[in-house]
Amino acid sequence: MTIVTSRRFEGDLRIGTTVAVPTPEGVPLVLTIASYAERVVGLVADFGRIVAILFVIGLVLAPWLGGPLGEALLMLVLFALRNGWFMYFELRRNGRTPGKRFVCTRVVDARGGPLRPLQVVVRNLTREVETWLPIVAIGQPDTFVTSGPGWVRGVAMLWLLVFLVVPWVDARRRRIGDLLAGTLVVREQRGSLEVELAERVARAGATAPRFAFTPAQLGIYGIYELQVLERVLRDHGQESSTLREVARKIARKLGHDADLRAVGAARAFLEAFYQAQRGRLETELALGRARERKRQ
Amino acid sequence: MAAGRAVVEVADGAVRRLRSVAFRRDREASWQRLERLVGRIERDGIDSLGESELVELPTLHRAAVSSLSVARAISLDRSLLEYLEALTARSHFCVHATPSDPWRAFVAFWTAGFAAAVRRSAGPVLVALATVVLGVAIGFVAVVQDLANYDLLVDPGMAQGRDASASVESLRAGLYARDASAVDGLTRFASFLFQNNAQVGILCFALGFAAGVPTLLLLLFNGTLLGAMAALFHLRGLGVDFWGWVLPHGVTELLAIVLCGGAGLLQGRAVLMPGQRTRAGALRAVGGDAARIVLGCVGMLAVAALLEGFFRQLVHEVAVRYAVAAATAAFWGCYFLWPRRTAGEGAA
Repeated sequence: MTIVTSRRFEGDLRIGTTVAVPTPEGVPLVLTIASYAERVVGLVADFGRIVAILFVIGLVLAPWLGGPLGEALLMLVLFALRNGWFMYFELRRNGRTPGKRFVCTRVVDARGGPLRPLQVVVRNLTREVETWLPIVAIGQPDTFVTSGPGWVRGVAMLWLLVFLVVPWVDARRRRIGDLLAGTLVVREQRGSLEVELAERVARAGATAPRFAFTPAQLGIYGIYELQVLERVLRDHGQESSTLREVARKIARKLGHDADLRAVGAARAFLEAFYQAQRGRLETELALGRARERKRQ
Repeated sequence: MAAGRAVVEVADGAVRRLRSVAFRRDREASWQRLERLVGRIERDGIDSLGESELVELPTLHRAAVSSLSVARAISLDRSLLEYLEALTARSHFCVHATPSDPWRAFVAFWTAGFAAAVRRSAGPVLVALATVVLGVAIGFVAVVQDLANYDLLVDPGMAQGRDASASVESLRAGLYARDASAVDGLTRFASFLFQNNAQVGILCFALGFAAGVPTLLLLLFNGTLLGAMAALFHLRGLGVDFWGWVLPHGVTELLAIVLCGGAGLLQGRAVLMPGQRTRAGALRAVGGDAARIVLGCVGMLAVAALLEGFFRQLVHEVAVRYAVAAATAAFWGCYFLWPRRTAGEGAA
């Protein structure tokens, strides 16, 4: 079992920590670790639902609450909800509690297998200590540490902070329960199949202006620039000023004498360049010598 | 490197030569088919798929995984790569989902998994037992020597009137309560006891990773409480009656707490002496057994709470109380130590 951890950045935007999880098919999956904030929000979302359910049950049981039966029932419901909510949903919904669905995260096995019932049980038994205890301690310090001088209470509180700090310090954002169970909480990925940019020029047909590039011109930029250009082409329409600006800069850098004044010429030029550049870099990739970035 | 080549790459010509474009054209229909199936599973569950679709799913998944592997090697279309990464991750979790046959897992757990986990953890369980016994001894001796120690050891709120100044009559009444109000409170009492004890058991387990120290303290503290109370009743000549009051449910309850403590110590040992593994690895290795034990103990505590809440308040014959205590002890002894096949291990 090997887990590669790396932090991905794009410009000054942090994409997140990714891990490569091995799979039975032999192709590692690249998953993005859910952030601390996402974990907290997911937890609050789950707690909110639990409190809401308790409230409704309390209303239903209100006529009997004075009696022993209602009280016994309420206590059992609280126990079952506190301990059962996460286990039930993580088992039945394959690692996704309602709160996790809300923030688009899920629990997965760190070794790429199915999430086993025992793992779910382990990570949720420790939840009691990791979440309820600090909450109770912060909310009602007196019930938690009943006696002792002030500094003893202080130390007890500090110790509780350990639980909150562990996932923050760990690169893979694992809390103690995750460590014990061998699980990770990852971000759910979404992606849609977008058009193939390298085909659009062909479809534009013979009426579109043609652009040609020399091998020297295709030897300037690298993979990074190609993919930035891809994003620009996907995000901007026919006549965007950004597109024209980018086209002008690239033409200047290449020393290309393309005429970019006509309507749609900038886009046509960029698409033609994208296609030629991608063909060139993919060939080099196959030969094992593609450039990552342009030469400075 | 291409300086010598006089070829000019023309846009139109390049399209046909891009392997990644042909690759995508050949396979995108199967990706989209997989995407539709996965979307349905995520929305409506795996049961919403028909038989032929269920057969299709793993094939499509493997095809997508192999596409991803190829795409990583040959394609520089970032949008395509991200699409395939996301699609295979989603279908991975559909194909490699939690195996769920809850009933079989439940039966296997209670007939084999729980007892086997306890037997494998005999060492830590014995240490936990010794700690509780030590706690009982400390509490007992301390109170027998000086009754004033009782109020130090037992929190007044917890003693419920069973404090050092209590008379023999009031103590006896507590052991053999049979008035209407007491019976009325039984249901509430049983449910409170269950969730309270289960909470202590889970704490014993969950705190184990801190080298087992909090677990040992919890066990020792609970033992001291019991010992102190026993001493109080002993001094008033109610020793036999006290144990008759405690043991019918106490055998089950104390055993469950000791087992939870054992589960905590199992983790403590993994943290202190991980051997050749990393600490996280050692914790993971014992996590399964520890969780099995705690789960089983929650069930045991439910039984104990029923015995405590109902049986104890309704049966007042000391001999019957001792007989029940002996019977539960024999039952748990057989349950954990009876030799059996180990085929069901790991199922739960």
